[in-house]
Amino acid sequence: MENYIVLFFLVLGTISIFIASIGLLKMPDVYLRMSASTIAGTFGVASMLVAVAIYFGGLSLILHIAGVIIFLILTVPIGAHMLGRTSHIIGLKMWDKTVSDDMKGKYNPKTHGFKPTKHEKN
Amino acid sequence: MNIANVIIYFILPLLSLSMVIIFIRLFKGPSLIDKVIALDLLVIVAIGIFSAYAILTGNAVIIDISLILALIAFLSTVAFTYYYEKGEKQLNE
Repeated sequence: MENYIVLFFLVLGTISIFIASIGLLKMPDVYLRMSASTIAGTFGVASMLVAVAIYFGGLSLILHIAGVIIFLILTVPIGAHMLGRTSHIIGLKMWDKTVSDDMKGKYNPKTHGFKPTKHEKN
Repeated sequence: MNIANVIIYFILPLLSLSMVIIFIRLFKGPSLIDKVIALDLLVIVAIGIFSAYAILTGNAVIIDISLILALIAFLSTVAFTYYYEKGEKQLNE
């Protein structure tokens, strides 16, 4: 019974990572590529590490794996945020079917800081 | 349905195939940011291969590598994007 749970988590993580890599290849845009690879990749590797924790057991290994998963969940969105901010500031183009762009015009292209809003000017 | 058979015949080939696909994007990528994203995902696939290999060999020590790899991937991504943006700023001035 335990073997089937381990197999389920392993196969789920593998398929998720494979979907992430396909999304990295086929998406039309930097931002969509980043979104696909970040979300699916984090979920996949967390699932595979959970499979390892169920298979071996033991308190020290479980704590170690929990540390790795919490670290990944904390740090991968920070990296994705910095990648998206940099690629928007240096002016990479979006896909031509993108509907909205909330960050447009809110940053100063010279100093890379926030533009002052109307409230701050007055 | 042995675990070792599933790992050898299904999981490791699929992870290797996804690594090949990521390498295509790494060499092809139109902008430099695409290459950084590909490197980031490459490390995540490497952690997946390590965990599958740890179950295959019954050796749990391999998991220790994954923490260090995750740390290196995060630091390299943040440092690269930070200095890339700073370089663009200096070009504008």
